[in-house]
Amino acid sequence: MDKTDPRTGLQGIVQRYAGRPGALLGILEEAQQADEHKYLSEEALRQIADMTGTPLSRVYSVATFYSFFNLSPQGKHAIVVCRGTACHTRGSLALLEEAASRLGFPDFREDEEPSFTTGDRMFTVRTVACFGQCALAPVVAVDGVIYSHMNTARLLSILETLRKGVRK
Amino acid sequence: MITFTLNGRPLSVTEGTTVLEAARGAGVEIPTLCHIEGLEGYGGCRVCMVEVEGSRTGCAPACTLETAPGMVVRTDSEAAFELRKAVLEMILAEHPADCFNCKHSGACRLHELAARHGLTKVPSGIERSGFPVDDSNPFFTLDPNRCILCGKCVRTCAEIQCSDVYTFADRGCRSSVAPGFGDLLADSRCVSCGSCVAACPTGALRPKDGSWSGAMYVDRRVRTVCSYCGVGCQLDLLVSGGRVVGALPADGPSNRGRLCVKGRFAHAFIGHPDRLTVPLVRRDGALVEATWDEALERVVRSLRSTVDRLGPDGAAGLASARCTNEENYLFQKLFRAGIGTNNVDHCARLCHASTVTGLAATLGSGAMTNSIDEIDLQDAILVTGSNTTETHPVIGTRIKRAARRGARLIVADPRRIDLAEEAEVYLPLKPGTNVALYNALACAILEEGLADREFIAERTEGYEEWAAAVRSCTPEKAAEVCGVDARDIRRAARIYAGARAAGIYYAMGVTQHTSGTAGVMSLSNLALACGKLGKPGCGINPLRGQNNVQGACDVGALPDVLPGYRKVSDPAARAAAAAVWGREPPSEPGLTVTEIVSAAESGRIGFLYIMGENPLVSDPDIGHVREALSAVDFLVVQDIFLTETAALADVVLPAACFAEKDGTFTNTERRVQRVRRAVPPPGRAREDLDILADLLERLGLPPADRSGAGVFAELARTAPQYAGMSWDRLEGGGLQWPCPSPDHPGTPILHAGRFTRGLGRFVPLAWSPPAEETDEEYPLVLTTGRNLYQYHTRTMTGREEGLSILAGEAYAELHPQAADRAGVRHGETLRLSTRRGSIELAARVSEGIRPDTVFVPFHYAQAAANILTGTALDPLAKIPELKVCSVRAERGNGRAPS
Repeated sequence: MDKTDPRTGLQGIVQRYAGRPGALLGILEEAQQADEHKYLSEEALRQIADMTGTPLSRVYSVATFYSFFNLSPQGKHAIVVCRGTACHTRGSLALLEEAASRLGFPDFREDEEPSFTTGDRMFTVRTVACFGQCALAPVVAVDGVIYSHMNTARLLSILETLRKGVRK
Repeated sequence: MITFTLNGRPLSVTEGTTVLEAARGAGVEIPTLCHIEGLEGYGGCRVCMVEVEGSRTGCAPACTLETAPGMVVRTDSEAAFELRKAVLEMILAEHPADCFNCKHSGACRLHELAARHGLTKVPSGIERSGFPVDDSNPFFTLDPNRCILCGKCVRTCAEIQCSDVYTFADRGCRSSVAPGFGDLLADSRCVSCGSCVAACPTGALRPKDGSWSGAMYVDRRVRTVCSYCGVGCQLDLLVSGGRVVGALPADGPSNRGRLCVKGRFAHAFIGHPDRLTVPLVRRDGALVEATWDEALERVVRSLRSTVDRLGPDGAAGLASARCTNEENYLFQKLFRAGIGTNNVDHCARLCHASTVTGLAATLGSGAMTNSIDEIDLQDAILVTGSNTTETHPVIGTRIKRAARRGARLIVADPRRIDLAEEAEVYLPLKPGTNVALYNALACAILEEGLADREFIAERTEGYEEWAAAVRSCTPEKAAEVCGVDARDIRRAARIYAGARAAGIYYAMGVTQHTSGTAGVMSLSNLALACGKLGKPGCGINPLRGQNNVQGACDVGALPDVLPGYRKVSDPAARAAAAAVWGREPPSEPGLTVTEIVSAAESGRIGFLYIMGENPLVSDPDIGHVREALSAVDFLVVQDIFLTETAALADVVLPAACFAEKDGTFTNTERRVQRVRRAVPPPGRAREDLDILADLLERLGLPPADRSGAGVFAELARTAPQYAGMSWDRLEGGGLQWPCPSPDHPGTPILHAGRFTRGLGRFVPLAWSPPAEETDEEYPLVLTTGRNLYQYHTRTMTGREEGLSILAGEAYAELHPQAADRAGVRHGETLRLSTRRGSIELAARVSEGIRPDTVFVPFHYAQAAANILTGTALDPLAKIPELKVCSVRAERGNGRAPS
């Protein structure tokens, strides 16, 4: 983020929300959007606390309560594997494991880590409890677009396409 | 009123009362794990579930459920019990499996409730584990594995202590209580007050002092008053096996369940091996052990020979703001009636002599006009010359809380203190320019027509003369003198004058100047002009430093007044004293602390008795003090440790500390509270009262009753403000003076309807610069003060390892620009020099201080700030100007002392 840019810099974001009740959530959301790697760095959170006069502990609490906020740099593409019951019975665990192992995280355990991001910051893979698209199970969201009846081969080909930089 | 039914009984309560509050009020216990008395119901733990007849769900948490007319509630039914049991079972399922044989179970509320609900083992479930334990705080441990996420610590820290250290970090089964960002408590803004530890219902937050794991073995809890500062917090000392093993906050009128790090954790000094346990006498140059009889005989013999040689005024005594009212009363009686001199004073001279002088002249009484509790009523607060958060931590917290609830806070201080962060207007004035600022505030108030004309007409005198003088003190002129923005002065003036209930709080930043009395009086003028006196929340409040400095003054440990501030020059007062003592005190005022030191140096004092003071660190220009103490023929020091001062004595008398005596302290809000003995004094040490009564007897003037209650009764006969008090009456929360008769309820607010002196007096005062002004050789201003973690000269706090970890080394705080010019970086050794001496200490570089000012805490003997300070005195109150002298800062040669 260009911190000197009055529109996207933290200062500008905070100023736009000044005096509004419940401003913190909006500020965090915009700050994350404005960030190059779509995340809230520790430095950014400390600055937001400072600028808004909000206790640091409270800023941290809000940032870590909502799954929407990322506290580590995100990959260029977000792959979200649904781990709801329907998707699970239709093989979503295999999809997750395949993606993890192909992207160099064979030891990834969904109950230990919420997500992983590849070293080249190309992909972030995470799980979600349920998209509510159970009839289409298993589903995977790629950059916000839901793909239904996903299978391993198709997922790998999507990853490959994204890597080459050719968006479908 | 609302009438509802609780367990079959009708109950009437005021509207808005929750079921939990109503039940507790009626003596019906509803167990909870997350409720905090005084805060809104939280509904987090769900243990307080009660049955509500006819409600949609059949049950509800009592802490958030408001009573309603006709509501039928059962707390004692089978269903309510089973429900609570089920909730407890779910909480336990996440708890470590060793819960029921955990070594801390005696102090664990969860364990207690589980047992009472017939649960005997942890149900197999999802045990919380794998969270790192935070052991970084010297006084307590944070173990998230034993946490039940009740949120009490988070809310206590944010809403009561106002430090905002904790949060719920992360979410779901990964959530835990922590400062966030993986920070340890040691790296957070935690001030170690321990409020979270007291709130925690399990072992997730537990003290390291052993009082927690040993809580089940605590033999006795003794309710007493903290001995660390003038706030007068009540606490319970935990006694096990004849030792004080810890302390817990109590719901005293001034602290309302709070304590600071010192009161809560710093009790190692009580049973410390360094304590003096036997009398010492100097023989062949060395201090050697002696019997009490030998030591006291020697004192009496030397006293007699001094009086023979120099007359009674050849003797002088320094009483102690650390000791009880009874002891200080006997001490001054020893000098006035036993010896026949008024040469008795104590360290109040160095802190609030200007308050006593100034407010006595303008209002008639030199004490805090209002109660600490009234902070909760104020809509504007002016804090000046007081780093309240560090020096009166519990009052600081209460002011912070008031600011957060919406009270408009004005802070005027050379350092950007913690309270400045909460302030609407912060005035970083140059040290020594208080009077200019206060006059400018008054000028702005007059200019804008904000003065209270009615109050001025009815209750004051001298207004016209004062107003004429102050009108020329414009904010613009003051802005130049003080180095602050004139617009801020005007804003502050409007806030203060426009408030419904506004209080002024000040301390030594106002008093310790050659213009100290003028500073106090100009604050008093300001309050008088706005009519902010004598009403709830409206007043002028000097925050007294030591635990019983108010009491020591009240009982006459001052050279010019007898008990109750009756002038020694007043024949009626002397006659009244003589009627009780059997001997009339002299009519000439005695010498003050600073004058005693000078007189000793010139050989006019042959006998000096110092009780519980350490002037060799605490008084200005220590080099001078050392010469004076050495020049005295006979020096008696009565103390609990062999202090720097005691090491010079001819006789050292081992005394008892606050935990080892019965008596009373008077706190800063004039509240007389009972101090209770928890453990006996070590070895052959004796209570100060006992030592003094013994000496009086040896001088042929035995008190009628040597017991504490008896001495207090005698005090009540001589000090009109205490006339209606007795130990029996103090058993509750204590009484605020004046309390003139046994049926009088005490006086929370002074000057209501009438000032103690009749009319409030305006005194015109012009600002004059401090005694020492900066020049080329000494270009910076040195100001001294205290910090949160140490107390006075560290004789007590220096024995607490944890405090030494948090703040064990001397330091000087200076601005980056000043540090650059001196050629030092943060943490490097800085050399500070004044016309009197030099010290070397660590540089603490901070933007929170004016670039022209250096701050040094005076606690540290190894780099004693008072080597540097001057002895210029306020002409009226004789208080030394400890807050301003000129100093040079340069790079140090040696290592900073560590």
